[in-house]
Amino acid sequence: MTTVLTVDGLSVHAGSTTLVDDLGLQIRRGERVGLIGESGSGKTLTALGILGLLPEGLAATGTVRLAGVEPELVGASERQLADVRGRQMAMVFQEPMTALNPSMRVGAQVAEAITIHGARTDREARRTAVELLGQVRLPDPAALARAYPHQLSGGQRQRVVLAIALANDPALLICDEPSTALDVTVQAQVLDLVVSGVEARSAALLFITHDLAVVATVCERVLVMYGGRLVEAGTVHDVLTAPRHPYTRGLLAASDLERVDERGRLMTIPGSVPPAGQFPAGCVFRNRCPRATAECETVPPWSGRDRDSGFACFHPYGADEPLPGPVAPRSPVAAIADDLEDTARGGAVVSVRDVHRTYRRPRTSLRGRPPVVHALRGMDLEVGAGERVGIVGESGSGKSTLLRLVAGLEQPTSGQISVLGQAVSGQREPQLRFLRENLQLVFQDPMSSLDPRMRVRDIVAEPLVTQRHRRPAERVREVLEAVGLDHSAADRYPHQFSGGQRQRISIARALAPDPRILVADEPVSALDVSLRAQVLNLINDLVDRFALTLVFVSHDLAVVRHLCERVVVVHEGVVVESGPTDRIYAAPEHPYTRQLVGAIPTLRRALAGHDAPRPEV
Amino acid sequence: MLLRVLVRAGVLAASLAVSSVVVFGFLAALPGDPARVALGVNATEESVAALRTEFGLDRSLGDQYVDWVGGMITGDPGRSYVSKAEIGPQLADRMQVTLWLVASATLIAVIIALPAGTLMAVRHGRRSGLLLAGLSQLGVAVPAFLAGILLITLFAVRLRWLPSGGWTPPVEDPAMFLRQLTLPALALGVVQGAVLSRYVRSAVIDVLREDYLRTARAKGLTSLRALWRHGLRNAMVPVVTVLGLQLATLLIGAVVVERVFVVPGLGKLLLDAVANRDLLLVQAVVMVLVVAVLVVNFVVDLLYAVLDPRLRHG
Amino acid sequence: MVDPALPTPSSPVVHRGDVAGVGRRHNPSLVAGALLVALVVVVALVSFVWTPYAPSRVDTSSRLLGLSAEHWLGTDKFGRDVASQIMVGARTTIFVGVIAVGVAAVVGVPLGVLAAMGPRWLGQLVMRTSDLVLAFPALLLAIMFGAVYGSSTLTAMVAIGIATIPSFARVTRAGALQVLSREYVLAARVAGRRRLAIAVRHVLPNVSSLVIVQVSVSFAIAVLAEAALSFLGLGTPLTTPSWGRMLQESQELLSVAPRLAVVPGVAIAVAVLGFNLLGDGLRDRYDPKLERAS
Repeated sequence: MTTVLTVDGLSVHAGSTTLVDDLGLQIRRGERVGLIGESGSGKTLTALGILGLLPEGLAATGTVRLAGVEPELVGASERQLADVRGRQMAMVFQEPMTALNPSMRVGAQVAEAITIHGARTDREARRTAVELLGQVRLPDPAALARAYPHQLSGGQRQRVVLAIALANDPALLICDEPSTALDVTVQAQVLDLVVSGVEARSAALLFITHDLAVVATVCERVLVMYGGRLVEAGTVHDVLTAPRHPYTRGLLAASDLERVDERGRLMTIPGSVPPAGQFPAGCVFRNRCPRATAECETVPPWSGRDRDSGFACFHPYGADEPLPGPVAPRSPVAAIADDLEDTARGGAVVSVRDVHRTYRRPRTSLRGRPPVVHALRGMDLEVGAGERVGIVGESGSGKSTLLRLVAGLEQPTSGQISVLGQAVSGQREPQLRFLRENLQLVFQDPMSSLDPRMRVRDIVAEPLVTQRHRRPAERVREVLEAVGLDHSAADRYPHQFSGGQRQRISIARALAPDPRILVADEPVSALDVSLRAQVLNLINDLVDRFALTLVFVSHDLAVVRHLCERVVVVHEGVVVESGPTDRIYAAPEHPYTRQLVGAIPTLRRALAGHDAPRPEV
Repeated sequence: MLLRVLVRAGVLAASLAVSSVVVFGFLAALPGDPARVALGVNATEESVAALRTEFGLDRSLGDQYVDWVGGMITGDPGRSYVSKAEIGPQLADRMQVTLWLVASATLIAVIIALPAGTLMAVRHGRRSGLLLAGLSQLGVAVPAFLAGILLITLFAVRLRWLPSGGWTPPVEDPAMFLRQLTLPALALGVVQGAVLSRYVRSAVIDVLREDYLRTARAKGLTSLRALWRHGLRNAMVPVVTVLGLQLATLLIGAVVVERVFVVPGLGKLLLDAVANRDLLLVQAVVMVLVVAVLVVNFVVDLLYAVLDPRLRHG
Repeated sequence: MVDPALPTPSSPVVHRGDVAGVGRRHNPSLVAGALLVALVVVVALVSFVWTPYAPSRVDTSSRLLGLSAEHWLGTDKFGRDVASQIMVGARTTIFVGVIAVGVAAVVGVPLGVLAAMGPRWLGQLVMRTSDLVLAFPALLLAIMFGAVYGSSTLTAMVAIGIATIPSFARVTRAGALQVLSREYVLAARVAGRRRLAIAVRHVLPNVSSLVIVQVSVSFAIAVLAEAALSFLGLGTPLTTPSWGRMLQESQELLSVAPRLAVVPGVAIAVAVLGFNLLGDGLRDRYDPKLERAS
C-alpha cells in the first residue's frame, strides 16, 4: 500500500512553550487512523500543523510529507500550501455552526472548492456541487444549494462542510471531532458519511476525537496523545483491548462506564490534565502515573520499529494484563416501581402533570402569525423520594426547559408542577422559598456557572445568604470538604481552578443549603473522560451520603445508565418511554428510544464486530 | 424583509416627531419674548406687538408648533424674525455647501480607512501594523479644527499653495472651488479617516478569527484571497454601521470646520443665528441636521439586510 | 471627532479549547496612556498651587515673545504667559471631563442594566431613546443650550454629559445581557436571589471592566468636545483659560506666531491620546480570555 502522509518529529511551539512534541505518524492509502486525546493533548494542533493552519503566534517544526507533493509541507510557502489544501488534503472541523460563510449561499461555497483549483468551469462546478450535496444525503440538493447556512441545522451544515472537503477527491481527509457538537442520532449519520466518503475515494483518513467508542467504530488504527506527545499506537483492537501505556489504560478504564471497582465506583486517573506548558519534563504522564519512578524523568523511547505501533513508557503493562475492575451491569439496590402510578402513591417529591410550555418568537414576516416554539407538549413525570431518575433527550427535546420549570425559574404555559407536595407552577418568587431550600441545581458549563468576580466562599455561600443561615462559613468549609476540595480553596477565585475542580465547587454550592433534591443538568458533558469519571463518582457518593433524590439530565444514555435506576426518555416535548435503566438500554420499545440506543457508539459493540454494522439511518 | 422595512420606517417617523417636539419645545422654553429680543431693548410696545402678530407669536404654543412642522415638511420654514428674510432659500443655499464638504470628507475618510484599517488588521502585531496603528491613534487625538488650523499654517501661510478659506460655487469657478474645498475637506476627512480606520481594523480582525475563514483556507485559498472573497463582505456590516453613526459627528465637525475656513455652510448659518438670537433660524437648521442624521441611519439600517442574509429571513 | 455613542473598536480574542493562552503580552498602551493622563492631571493639580505667572496677567511690553527661559512657551498677543494658560486650561479640561463623564456614567449605567434586566418594552424604549439622543451630538446640544440659556461651562458640561449617556447605556446593556446569559446568574436565582441583588452582586461587578474602559474613552471624547466648544466660544467664559479658546485666538496670528496654535493643539492631542491609549490598554487587560484557566 502506498503511503499518503508521513509526519516526522512534528513539534508545535508557542514562544517557549511546547504544545506538540516530536510527533510522528504515517497513513497509507485507504487507511483510517484515529488520533485520540483529551483536551490539552495537542491533537487539534497536530492537525492544524499538518495543514499549515496554525493560529498566530504558533509555529511548527519537523517534516510533513504528502505523497506526490513537493516540497515538504512544514515551512512551505502560503501559496504552495494553498495549492495542496482542498485538493490533495482536506479537513473537516469541529464546529459546524460557524464553519460556513453566513452571507454566501451553500451551493456557491461548495462550488468554490472546485473552482479554486481550476478543475472546472463555473457552471460545471455548480452542477458538481449539487451532486456532492446529494452524495452527503442532503434532501433536495438543488434547492438546498440556494440556501444560506443559517437556514440549515448543525447536522446539515456539517454535511456541507464534508461535501466541500471531498469535492476534489482528496488523498487525505482529516476530521477533527466532526460530530462532537451534534446530537447522537445525527452523529451516527455524519460518521457514516465520513466513512463512506473516504471509502468511495480510497482516501486516507485521520480522525481526531476524544471518544474511544467513535474511534473504534470508524478507524482501524489508533494513536494516543497526551501532553503533546504520542504515548501509544497500534491497531484499534490491540490498543483498546490490551493497552500497554498507563495513560491509555487509565483512559480506557475511565471511559467505560460499566467498569467499576469493588465499591461500585468508576475507574479514574488521579489528578487532572495540567495546563499547557506545565507538563512534567521527561515522561509527560509521570505526575499522574501509578508506576512512575525516577527513571521516568527522562523521555521514554519509542518501543516500536515504526510509528504504526508501540508505546513510550518505561513501565508498560503486559499485553495480557487485564484491565482493572469487574464489568458489572448496573443493578441498583433500591426497589423500583415499574410504572408511574406506584411511585405517585409512595409520595412523589417532584410531580409534573401535563405540562405545556410554548414560547413566542418575534414576528419575522408581515403576514401570518409569529412563530411559536412548543418546548413541552404535555410532559408527565413523577420522581419518588430517594430515587435517581435520569432524563435523556437530544437537543430540542425539552429536557432543559423541564428543568427550568421544575426549578421554578420559569412558569409553564399550562399544567401543574409541584415539589414536595407544594405547588411550584403559578407561584411567585416569594412563595417559592421552600423550593430554594430543598432543590438545587448543578449546571453544565464549569466555565460559566461560577461568577468570575466572586471568591469561592461567596459563591458557595450564596444559597445560604438568602436563607439566612446561622453559620455560613462553617457550612462552606463542610461542603468544600465533602466535594474533596481543600478549604484554602475558599479564598481563591474560579479562574484559579481547573474545569473539574470548578464543577466540584458548583456541586458544593448546590449542597450548601442541605437540599433534599439535587437536579443536575448535563454536569459532566463538558468534561474530559477522566474528569467525568471523578465527578460522577463524587455525585454518586454525595447522593448516597446525604440521601438525596437525584434528577439527572443528560443526552448520554451511558452516563445515565451508570448513575440512575430509572430513566425517562424525552423527545420533542413529551415523554416517549420510561422505566428501569437496564431494561430501556437492553430492550427499548419506543422507536425513538430504539433509534437513540442504536445510534450510540459503544466500545464493546465496535470492538466486537470491528466493523460494527452501521446504525440504521 | 418587508416587515423590517415597515418597522424601521415607523421608528423613523416616531423619531422625527419626537425630535421636532424636542427642538421646538427647547427653543420655546427661552425665557423672555422672542419678539422683544429680536427688536432689541429700545423697541416700543406697539412694534413688539406688531411683530408678534406678524409672525403669529401670539397664538398658542400648540398652534405655533403645528404651523412650524407643517412649514418644515412642505419646505417653507417661514421667515426669520430678525432678518425678515425667508429661511427656506438660505437653508437650501447653505445646505449645498455643507453637503459638498461632508461628501468629500467622507470620500477621503473611506479612501484612507479601508486600506489602512485592513492593513493594520492583517499586519497587526508586526511593525508596519503597529506603525499604522500609532498613526491612527494620533489622527483620532487631533480634533478636526486643530487639523484645519495646522493645515492652514502649513499650506496656506507657509507654502502658500492653497487658500486659507472662503468659498466659490463650483459652477462659477471650478478651479477655485476645488482649491478652497481641499483643506477643509482634508481636515475633516483625514481625522474621520483615522477614526474609521480603527473600526475597519477591528472588524477585519474579528473576521480573520472567524471559523469560516479557516474553512476557506482549508479549501485552498491563500489567507489574502480568503479575506477578500469571504471576509470583507462580512466585515463591511459593522463598518457601514459606523459610517452611518458617524454622520452626526461629521456634520458637527463640519460646523466647526466651516468656522475655521470661513465657509458659508449650514454650520456658519447656525452659529451666526445663535449669535443673533435668531431663534427660528436656529430651530430650522438644527432640525435639518437632525433629520439628515435620522434619515441616513434609517438607510444604513436597511443596508444591513442587504449585506447580511440572516437579517432578511429573521 | 469621535462620536461618543459609537461602540469602541475592540480586538476580541477567541479562546479555542486546545490552543493554549500565549501568556501575558506587554501592554504598552496601558503604560503610555496612563503616563499621558497622569501628566495632564498632575499639571492641572499643580496649577492650583503654582503657575509661572498669573495666567491672566497682561503685560503689553512682552507681547508675542517666543520660547525663552522666562516664558517657557512664550507669550500671546496680550503678553500673557502661554505656559500658565496651558496649565490652568488643563484644569478646565479635566473638570469638564469629570463632570460630564460622571453624569453620563451615573445615568447611563443604571439605564443600561434596567434595559437588560427589565421588561422587553423597557429595553426597547431605552435603546430607541438613546438612538434618538445620538442624533443630537454634544456640540448641537451645547448650541441649543447656549441659544436658550447662554453659554457657560455648565451648559457645556450638561450638553456633553447628556450626549455621552447613550454610549454608557449601550455598553452596559450589552455587557449585562451577556452576564445574564451565564449560568451563574441562573444559579443565583435558584439560590433564591432577587433581581435587585443579582443586578448588584453579579451584573454590576461583571460589567465594571467594560464601564471603566468606556469611562476612559468617553473622557477622550469629552476633551475633544470641550475644546471644540471653547473654540466656538460656546464653552467656558472668556475669563477662564481653555485650550480650545487659545486655539481660536491663535487663528488670526498664524502667519506671525504659529506656536500659539501648536502649543494648545499639542496639549489637546496629548490629553485625548492619553485617554484613548489608556482605554485601549484597559480593554486589553480585561480581556475575558485572560481570566480563564487555560
